[in-house]
Amino acid sequence: MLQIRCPWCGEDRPEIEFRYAGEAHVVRARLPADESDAAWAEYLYLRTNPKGWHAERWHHVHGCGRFLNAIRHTVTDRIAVTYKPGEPRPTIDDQQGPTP
Amino acid sequence: MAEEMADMPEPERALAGIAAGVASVALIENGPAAARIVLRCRPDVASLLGAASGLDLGGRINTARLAPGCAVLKLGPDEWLLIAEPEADPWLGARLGAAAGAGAVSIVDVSHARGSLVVAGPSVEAVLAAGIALPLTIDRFPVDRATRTLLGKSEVVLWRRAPDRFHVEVGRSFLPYVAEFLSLAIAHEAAIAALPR
Ligand SMILES: [Zn+2]
Repeated sequence: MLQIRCPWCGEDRPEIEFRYAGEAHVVRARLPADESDAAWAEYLYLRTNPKGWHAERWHHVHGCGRFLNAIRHTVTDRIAVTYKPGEPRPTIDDQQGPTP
Repeated sequence: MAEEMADMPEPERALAGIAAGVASVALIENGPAAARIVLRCRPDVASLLGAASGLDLGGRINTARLAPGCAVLKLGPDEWLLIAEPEADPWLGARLGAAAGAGAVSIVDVSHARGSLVVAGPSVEAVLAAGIALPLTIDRFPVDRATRTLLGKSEVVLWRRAPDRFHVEVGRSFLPYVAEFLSLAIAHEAAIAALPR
């Protein structure tokens, strides 16, 4: 079982307490009606889907109830860092990743 | 018997018909009747509310504090579960509401939505670990640590009251499931202890 560090609880917690909540830092337009169809479709449907480090939202649903962001490697599942929503996306040195 | 059971309030019914444990491992009891309030507000409002209501809302996340007649469990950065004597039901919410003044708070009475079990005994950590993925040793989960987590397939609030005693808050419809889960876990621990070495 993965141990995920919750930035609100300040400790590692078991994976089953969390729920995945999609890619992080996807910003909704202030006035969706003013968006072009292409821009709105991109917001709704298009995600980066990287092979590598991915910024994503998790919900500590069976713990403190708060959302958090995590930088997770989509190949190794390793989580390099977690942080609170609203904080900038940390840059991850690729060397930090374990070899697959 | 079936009719008698149907007349019992649901929390008391949870333990009806299941083995309440093995003394050398752990015993399960119904928790005391209680008034329960979920309080949610921002930290700045919480400090005003705490000062005005006399409840200590400070303290670290995932810990419990005891005030006279009321326990305060901080379950999230903006969420507290108050467990009080049943008589507190009408006035505690009102006192909090009055203390909140113009601050934005949510005060929800969940007294009847939950029940509780008390699990205690020399092997209580092993029994709970059958369904809980958190480390439960006394150094990692000390007395008055309290948190929401999962026990088997049920969400619970787990609160350590003493080195060998835990309070488990459960949604009332999950009480029979959790009671039976723990009863089986105790039987399992007892069977392991009885194995020849
Ligand atoms: Zn948390």
